[in-house]
This record gives sequence, C-alpha cells and structure tokens, in this order.
Amino acid sequence: MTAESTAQARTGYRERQLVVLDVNGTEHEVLVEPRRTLVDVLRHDLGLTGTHVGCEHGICGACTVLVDGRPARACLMFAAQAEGSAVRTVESLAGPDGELSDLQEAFTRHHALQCGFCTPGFLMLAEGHLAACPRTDKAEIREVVAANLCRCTGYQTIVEAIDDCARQRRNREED
Amino acid sequence: MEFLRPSTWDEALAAKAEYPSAVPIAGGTDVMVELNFDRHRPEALIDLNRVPELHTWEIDDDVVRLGASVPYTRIIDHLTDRLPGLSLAAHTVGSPQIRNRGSVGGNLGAASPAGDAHPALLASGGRVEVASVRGTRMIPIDDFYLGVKRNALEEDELILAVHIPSATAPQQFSKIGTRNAMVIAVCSFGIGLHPETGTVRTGIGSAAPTPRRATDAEEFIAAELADAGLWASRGELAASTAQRFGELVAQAASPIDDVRGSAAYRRHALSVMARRTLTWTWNEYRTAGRAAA
Amino acid sequence: MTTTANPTRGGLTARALPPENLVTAGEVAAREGTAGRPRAADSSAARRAAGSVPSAATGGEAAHPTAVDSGARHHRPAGRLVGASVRRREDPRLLTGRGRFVDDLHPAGVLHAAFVRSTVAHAEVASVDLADVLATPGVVAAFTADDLGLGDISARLARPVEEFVPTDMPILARDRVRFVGEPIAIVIADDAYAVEDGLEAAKVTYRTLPPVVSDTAALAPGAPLVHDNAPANTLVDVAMFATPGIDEVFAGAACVVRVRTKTGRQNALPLETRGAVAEWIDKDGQLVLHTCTQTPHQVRTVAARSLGLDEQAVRVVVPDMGGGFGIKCVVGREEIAVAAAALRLRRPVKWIEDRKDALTASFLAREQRYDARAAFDAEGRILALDADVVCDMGAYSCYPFTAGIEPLMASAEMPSVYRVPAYRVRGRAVTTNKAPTAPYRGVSRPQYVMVVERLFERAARELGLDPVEIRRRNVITEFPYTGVNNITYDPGSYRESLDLCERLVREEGWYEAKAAAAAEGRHLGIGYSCFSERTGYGSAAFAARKMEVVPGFDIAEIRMDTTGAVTVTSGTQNHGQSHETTLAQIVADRLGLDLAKVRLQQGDTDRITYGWGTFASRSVVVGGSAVGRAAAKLADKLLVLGAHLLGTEAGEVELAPGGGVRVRGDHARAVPYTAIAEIAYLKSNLLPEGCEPGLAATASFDVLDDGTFSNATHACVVELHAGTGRVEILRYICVEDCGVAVHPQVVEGQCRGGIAQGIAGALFEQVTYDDNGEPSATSFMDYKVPTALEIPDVAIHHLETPCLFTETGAKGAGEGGTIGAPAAVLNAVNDALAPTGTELDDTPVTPETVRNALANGPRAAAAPTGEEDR
Repeated sequence: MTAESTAQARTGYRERQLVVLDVNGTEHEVLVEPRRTLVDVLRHDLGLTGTHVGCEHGICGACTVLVDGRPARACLMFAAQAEGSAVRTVESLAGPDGELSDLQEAFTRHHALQCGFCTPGFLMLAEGHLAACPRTDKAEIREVVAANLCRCTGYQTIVEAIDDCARQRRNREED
Repeated sequence: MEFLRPSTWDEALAAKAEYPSAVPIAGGTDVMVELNFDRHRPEALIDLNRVPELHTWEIDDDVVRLGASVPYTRIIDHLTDRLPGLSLAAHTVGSPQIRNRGSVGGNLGAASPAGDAHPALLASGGRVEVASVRGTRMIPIDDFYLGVKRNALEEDELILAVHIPSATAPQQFSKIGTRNAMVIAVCSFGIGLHPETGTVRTGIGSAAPTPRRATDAEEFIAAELADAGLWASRGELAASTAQRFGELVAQAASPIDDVRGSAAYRRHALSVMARRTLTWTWNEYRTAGRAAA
Repeated sequence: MTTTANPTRGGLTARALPPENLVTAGEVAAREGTAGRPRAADSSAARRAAGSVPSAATGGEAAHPTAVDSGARHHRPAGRLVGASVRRREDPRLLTGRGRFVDDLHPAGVLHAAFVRSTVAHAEVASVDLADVLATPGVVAAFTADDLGLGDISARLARPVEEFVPTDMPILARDRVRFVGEPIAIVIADDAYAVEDGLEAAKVTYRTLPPVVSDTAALAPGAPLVHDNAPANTLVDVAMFATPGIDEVFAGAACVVRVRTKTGRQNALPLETRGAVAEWIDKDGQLVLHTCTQTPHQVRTVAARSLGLDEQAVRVVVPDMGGGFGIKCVVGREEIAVAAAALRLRRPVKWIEDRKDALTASFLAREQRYDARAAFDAEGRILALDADVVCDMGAYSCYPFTAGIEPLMASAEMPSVYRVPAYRVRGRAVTTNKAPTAPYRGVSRPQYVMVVERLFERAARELGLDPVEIRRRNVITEFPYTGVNNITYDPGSYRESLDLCERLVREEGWYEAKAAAAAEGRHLGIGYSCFSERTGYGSAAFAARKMEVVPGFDIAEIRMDTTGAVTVTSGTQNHGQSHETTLAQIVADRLGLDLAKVRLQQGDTDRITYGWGTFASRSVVVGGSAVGRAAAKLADKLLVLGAHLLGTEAGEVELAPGGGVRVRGDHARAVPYTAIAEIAYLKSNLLPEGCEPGLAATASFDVLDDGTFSNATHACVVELHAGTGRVEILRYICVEDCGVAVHPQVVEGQCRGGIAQGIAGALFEQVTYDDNGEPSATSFMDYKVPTALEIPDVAIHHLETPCLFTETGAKGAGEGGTIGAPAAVLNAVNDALAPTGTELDDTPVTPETVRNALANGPRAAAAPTGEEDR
C-alpha cells in the first residue's frame, strides 16, 4: 500500500454512520464510526456507564448485556449490529425510584460483590439465565457464572445469590 | 473502514465480489477479538446478520443443512438429536454469551485449529456450501482446512451453509483445557460411529496446524470392528483396542509446545480422550442395540 | 485524654499522633484482663446476626476491648454496629450501574491517550519518529519524555550500596528500553479509536541488547547488565539474620530437610485495569488527576515533583475502583505522563489501560526462587531455618516500596508461626528485562509460607510424624512472643486454629475418604497450612525496612453538621474492602449514631489531610483506629456542650443512643446533637466561655513496634485425576482469626476472595517469557484466571483473639486468604502424590506436571492407578 492509500484507508476510519438503537426500551440515534463497538456506544455515546469493559476480547464478561433477552458480550459487537434488537443494560434492572430488583437485592444480601466492577456483567448474565431457565439449579448456575471473571469474591457468594433469587422467584410463582 | 450491511444473500455476494479483502462478520466472536487487539485492520467488514437464510436450517434425506450463522445455542436447543457431536462441542464453546452469537460458519471462516466445531464436523463428515457471484459449490469438510487459519474459500466466496449427515450412531466430543467452559482448548477430539459404512470418523483440534482426522486410527478401528464382527454382534470392545486407538490418534497429531501445554502433554491428552470417547460411544452403541432388541 | 503514661505492654505499643492521643495506662490494664484465650465463634451465621457479638452480652462493656476507649467509657452507647454484618453502603450504586469508575469520567473536550511501547526486551533507543503519528487523522499530539521534560521515578532504601543499588524508572523511556511494553511516547487523539490509529504510525528504531530473562541468567557470571550501575543485576542483597552457630545446629540435627522451589510470576489482575483522567483547572490553579490508585497522596507527591509543581497545585481524586490488590499501590509512570500531557495541552486527557498492556506492561509479582533448609530434632522440634531467597523484580524498582519489597518481607518474616531458635536468611532482588513488580496481596508471604509449610510436611514424613502433630509441637503458644527475627507477635490462636481445622477435617470424614480412595487406586490428598499475617504495619515496621519513604500512620478528621450528621475522612482508600460501611460502623458506634448519619470521605488529596492509602491489610487497623479516635475526640466536645445545655458538668453526662447527650441516671434530661450543633454553629453566642465554635476533631493513629498478627489454618482436600493430571479441589476449610470482625460478612468475603487468588497462583496463573523476553501471556486465553468452575466453595470458621491496641480489637483481614492457600493446595497435592515418590514444589502445579508425576514418579508403577476422571 502506498503512503497515500494508507492515508486514505485511515481517513476511511473516520467516516460516521447513523445507528438506531433500542436500549432499555428507549430509541437512540447515534452518529458513530462503523468500527465503534456496542459497549463504547452504550458507555460513551449514551452515557450508560454501568456496563464495563474488562478485556475487549470476550473472556471476562464485564460488558455483558442482554440482546433480545440473551446475554451477549458488548465488546464483541459493533453498535451497528445491534440495530433492530432490543438491548438491555444493568441500568434497566432497578425500579424507577432506584428500588433494587430481587436479583440485585440477593447480590447485596449475599455479599456477592466487593469492588463491583464485574457486577453489572454478572447481573445481566444471571438475568438472562434466570429468564431462560427458571428451574435452574446450583450446579447449572455455577457453570453459567463460570462465563465471567470476578477477582474479588471467589464466586461462591455470586452463585449463592443467583440461586437464592431463583428459589425466591419460584416460591413467589407457587404462591 | 467500510462497514457493509447487506440485507440479502445476493447483496452479500456482490459486496464480497467488490471488496475481496472484506472480512465477513456474523456473531463477531472470532473477528472482533482480532480487531480489538489491533492484530487486524480490514479494509471492509461485511455484516451478515441481516441475511435471513444464514440463520435457518433444513432437514431432508438425513442431512441437516445448517445455515452458517445459526448460533450454537440453537444447535443445542434444536439439533442435538441429529447432530449430537456438534451439539456437545457447542456446549463447550466459551460461555453463554459466545454460544448465543457464535456459529459454525464463524468457526469455518476463521479456520483456527482451536475452533470447537471442527473436530465434530470432521467426525460426522459433511460438506461446506460456499457461494460467490460466480456460483455455488460444495467443499467436502475433509478438503476444507488448508493451513493455519487458512481455508479453501476463494477470496470472493462466502460460506452459506454446512451440510451434515444426521447421526446414525453415537458421537462424542471431548476437550481438555485448564478451564471447562472458557478459552481455547489445550486440545480437543471428536468421534462418530458410522455403522452403515462400518467406519469410525475422528477429528482432532488444537493439536496440528489445521483440524485433521486421525486416518490411521480410523482404519485400525474399522478393521478391528470388522474382523471381530462387532458392528453386528455389538460385542464388547477390548481395552487394548481402545488403548491402541488412542495411541494412533495421538500419533496423528503434530502439536507444538506453547503456554497452554507441551506437545507431549497434548499427545497424551489426545490419546486419553480418544480412548475414552471411543469406549463411551461404543458402549452407548451396545446399549442402544440391547434396548432395540 | 490527659494521661501520657507509658503504654508499653509486653513489647506491644500503641501510639497515636499527636501525643495527647496516647492510649492511657488504665485502658491497657483493662485490656489485659480480656486478652486471654481466643473465643470460638464457629457459626458464621450466628455472627452475621446484627448485634450478636458474644462479648457484648457477657458482663457489660468492659469485657470487650472495643468498650474501652481513651479513658472515656461513658461514650459507649448500647446497640453496637461493630460486629454486625449490616448491608454494604457501597452496594446500591454498584448494583445499579451508578458507580463512577475512572473510565466513567468524561469531562467536556476530553482527549484520549495511549502509549507507544517497546517491542523489544532490551535495547538502546536509536530513534523515535512521531511524524506519521501526528499526521494521523484525529491525533492531537504526541510527546516523548524530552518533549514534556519528564524525568524519573526514583524509589530508595536507606541502605549502603552493598545492600541496595539505587536505580531509576524513567516516566517515559529515553535512551534505553528494558522490557517489552515499556512506554516510550504518549499519543493523544480526539477519541480512543483514533489514538490506536496513531500508535500504529509510530516508528521506533532500536539497537538491541541481549536480554536477561530469568533470575539465574541475571546472576550468571558475565550476564548482560539491565542497569549499568547494578553489578550482577542485583538491586537488593541483604543478609538480615544469621544466628551464630547455625551451621553446627544443622550438622548435629537428627533431621534436615530441604525445599527448593520456584514460584510463577503473576499479575494481581484487578478486573478494572489502571487508568487516569487529568485536567488543568484554571480557576483553582490546580492539576486534577483522577486516577484509580490505592495511595492518592503518593501519586500527588510524585506528580508534583515530576511536573515541577507545589503539592497544593496537584489534586489527586480517586473514583470508584475496580480492585487493586497491590498493583495500584505503587505510582504508575503512565498516570504521571498523562498528567504532564494535560498540563501541556491545557485540555483533559484520559488514559485507560487495555488488557494486553495490563497483562504485559503494568506491574507483576511473585516470581521467587527459594533454597531453604530446616533442621529438626528427633521429636520434630525445629532447630534452625536457613533460606536463600531470590526475587525476580523485573526491570525497575517501584515507588515507594522499591525492589526490596519482596526479599525484605520474606527475610523479615519467614519464621512464620513457629518457635524457630536459629535463623539465617539472604534475600536478593535481581533485575531482569521483564515488566517490573509491585506488591501483590500477601507480598512474599504466600511463597515463604508455602516453603515453610513444605519443610514441616517433609520433616514429618522423614520423622514418621503426623503433619499436624509436628506443627502442633512447634507453633507459638505463649504471647507476646519475640522471635529469632526480632519480631514480637501479639496474641493469636495458632494452636487453636490448627486444632479446630484438623478436627473439622476429621469430622467431615476426609481421612476415611482418602483411605477409601487409595484402596480404589484414586489419588486423594489432604493438606494444611498454618500461618500468621502481620497487619497494620506502622511507621516503625516500615522504618525497620529502611524505606526512605516511611508509610504507617493515618489521620482522620470528623465534622458534625447542623443536622447532627457527620462526615469523616480517612487516608485509607477503599477499592472493594467496604470501608464506606466498616469505618462508618466504627464511627457510628462511638457517637451512638445511625449508620445513615455517617458519611465516609476518602480519595481526595484536597479533602483528606494526609494518608497512606490502603495496602498491607492496614485499613481497619490504622484507619479504623484513627476514625474511632477522631470520633472519641468529637464526643468529648459534644459532652462538654451537652452538659452546658443541660446545666450540669461534663462528668455527669453520657452519649445517648440515636445521637444526643443525656444525664447519667436521669435519661429524661437529654439534648439531641442537633441542639448542640445549633449552638456550635448557628448560635455561637450561647457557647460556654472559652469554647471554640464548630464541631470537628482530628486524630491520628500509628502502630509502634511490630503491629498485630492475624492468623489462620487452612485445609485443602484434592483429588488428582490420573488421565489428565487435573487437580480437583474437593474441599476447602479456613479457620481464621482476625480479632474482632467489624463486619463478619466482609471478613468472609476477604477470605474467600483471597483464597481464590491463592489457588490461582498455586494451580493456574503464570506470566512466562520466551528467550527474547517476549511475554507469552498477552490475553486471558493464555493467562488462566480461574472461574467459578475452578474455585471451590470455602467453609469459614472464626476464632477471635482481639487485638490489644486497635480501637475495635480488630486485626487486618485483607490478605490472609491469599497467603495460606498455595501452601494448603501444594501440601494436599503432595499428600496425594506421596505413594508415587514424587514431590512438586514449584508453582503453578499444572495438569502436565501432575500427570507426569503420577505416570513417572519413582514409585509410580507400584502405586495403583484406578478409574480415570471423565
């Protein structure tokens, strides 16, 4: 590639496109470079900084959001790829007055977070799993939890919190 | 960087013809890692998410035609009966987040020796349906992997689907890594019994420059089973036979030393996995026979 | 608080600054009565229940050290929060995505920075050409060290050059690079994507030098020099102890055992990488540096000196932090470079480290080599310990701790929990062409505890003794105990924790399970580790290391406002440890306030007088005591003013629960804090004569002498799988004693998280380098952080030997889990391997090494091999 074409290719990176996203039930229009990832758009263009970036290669899971109800790594998606899908982030979990959801309550009750950096990813991972598998058990929860990394807790209380939340949801259903 | 977003298959093929260096992206689980680590700066990306036929599957004449972008989760949910080996491999893929977006087409496109789908595809056999504006062709899976991260696609071609025979007998997939559900494997192994042809097919992952079959091991076990009439009798497999099969599988690999494991350990692990999975599938075959009888 | 009697008790001294805060003699006497044996509090559930602190229920407040505060026992109201696992106050914002981490800060016009980094391990930098970088669309600026006038970060020990060779870490490399990833230039662009484009365009040429990639290569005769002024690549070489006649002891001993081990280089790996946002604020004449650091005042000092500013012109602010574990308690060169760029550009500049840089170019830890021997008599009593410790510190000395951090810790404390009569140690720090090192949770203790515990296990095997029994014969049981290493150990439950832990393992049937497994040809092993952890190092302890910068004390300020609520500051720095909850519990108890009325402030050098941040398990010991004392001082003033309003003497009143002052014996006569605050602020004309307006107090705390030792015994049960060599942890039990637990649930969280990191080091994580000094683990694909499938549940049991000199009786709890786990895991693995005749001492123990040991050990053929794992 000549110097000139290199410069052109680079210029190409600066072109922007309009992307329409449905995030937490609200439609957003953003003008972004095509290479901009979903997590960067959520955090820096929409100001939803609850979703975190821990590795940018799809291992740590701190950036987990729900895409059409299923957990996905927001660092491995371009924002444009989320067009037409419903995206949910950690900001959607609590009530409008800030009241914690049952899952969030279970996390604080069990001390399932310390520094809290990985927590939004675990919450969304759990939210997706509990919606898909309400009859889940502890062994299955442990496998799901193994999808994300936490450096503070040793995982035990995260598993216990999700299991507790699942049981309570089942009990409420039976009542 | 151009970001091309075709909404039909024809548009996708036209885009690939116009930008032969463009990288197709569906779930993004392989491509995005390379992009985020700046190892790769493609001139253009073709986002295939909007092409409907890539997300569907059809079943006819005991062959599953699996769209290239069907995520692993749906294979597990819907195709475990017909594609048990691939479904087991899908279970071991990364994490729920990756299983929800990653697909067989992505694995084939990247052609990484560590892709989880490869050993299962090799063990079941099948063909990759690829297309370009010039037309469509079928590539047997055995001819698909050419080198490290290199496959048999021409530069204007895209993967449309994979045609995989429905299983007629037990299949297995096994993977060894420090972690169960995460990260690329130290090595992996797939096996499929094919009583209708009297053959056993295998697939080795992460232990050679490309995914590959262990043909000596396959020939050995086919001869052993045939000589003893075991396909029909569903008799017990001698431990020494499984042992020898494992050794031959290990010999078929050409692993390297790296931080995940030494070549010696990889060979050993392969022999263990091959021995075990052969034993499991064979025992399952025997049990199924007894149940049928 | 007028008494200044000598507070010494058995070598344990508490000191506060200024001197009027000295603990009174009467207080110490009161504590002596309660400091006897540890109390078993073996049901964690019971301790979780609010207010169920056993000591509080037995015979009134004096039965518990926390009840004794600075001679003002009447300050103590009923309904204690200390000891209760209240809901964490940090949680609501962190659970709802409303935490504010450094990458969440987005000042208007912020620019994004990244670093051109060395691609070679060792070289002279021939040229740096940034012209194409500057031509890249979106790039705003690119600077080398010379462009910004940046110098070095220099950490020093006050030791002679034979013991310590001073070296400097350039903020940006100038003429020489010493590891792959070393920063050479800073590139600044208008977004995080453009800055990556800019980095690609940088052209650096090198004249490569031969790299030094291991400690053995570094020490080899004729090795290339990493620093020209450091002969033999040795930065620290200290022979701290050498008991006369120790060689004769070894020569005459009934049993001498030896352990040689190499431990893997690790990354502390907080999930949040390092990062900073710097901005010059004209209005304040200040450079504001938001950075995720454990030690804000240290960053301020280095930033001010590096930028040629007074410290008042630099404000370091710490947002929410996503963990640290030590990697963030040293000053990073990147945060200083970002500050310099923001100062030059007069625009906000943000740098967020990516994971690849975090893995390869930040600070690492733990790569050590031990050659250790221990002598025992025929009954298994240890006679002598002799160790040579070599720590591979990488390319540079970290600030403020220096490259001495690991060898000096190992040298000072290696005798551990045992009565070791003779001790000799040589500790060295060698420099290599690898990323530099920083303290990481436990600092050397995970390693030397593993070595010492392996020595005891080996001696037990040689002498035919039970491995728990040999420890029982050697652990310190009489306190205070002054060891051969001149450290005085305060009371702990070394023996009791060992006994309880072993009992639990027996009661759960693990010995029978092991025997049954062996009969089937399976490989089960049981391993223990018994250890203590010095927590709350004071300035005396750090001065003993001969650090030129001597951390130790903490200062707390407390202010009550007109609503009767208080704001308390602490120089400690929360990054996951729950300080907003636990330090507030201490203050709320002192003042009889609801927790909601206490707000903790940390992490802002403009608001915090001074502090050393959070590391070395010091926060509850030093910071907790400082806030407690500040609250007690405020209480004194509240009592004076309350008595004035009630028309009586200060001696006649006490603090009332819920926040007020009442007359003793006549509780109906009371005034709320709001009434007191009213005259302190809004109607100061009503203040008694000579009383100054306002309700504020400042107190400080330091630990004299040797600090306080938490302790624990861990037990681990593993099964080794013959086919793959996988190590499966079947059970993990921890019996811990960190004195009074301010918040038992938080203590358990620290234990579990620490144990997970210890297991990670024992079995999984390692940063390796190839012969060219190229790091091999550049992503999570190769740096194997364990997940929920590798880390077992941990059963935790508590003992409680209160600390004699902290305000609450608490000892530190931050690092113990990490310290004990490698030894317990290694001992369990080796117990399982015993029939094969192989022993594994290096970490991490990989499936491959286990599988080879099972297959090829000297007695492997004799050892039965049963069913393999699936």
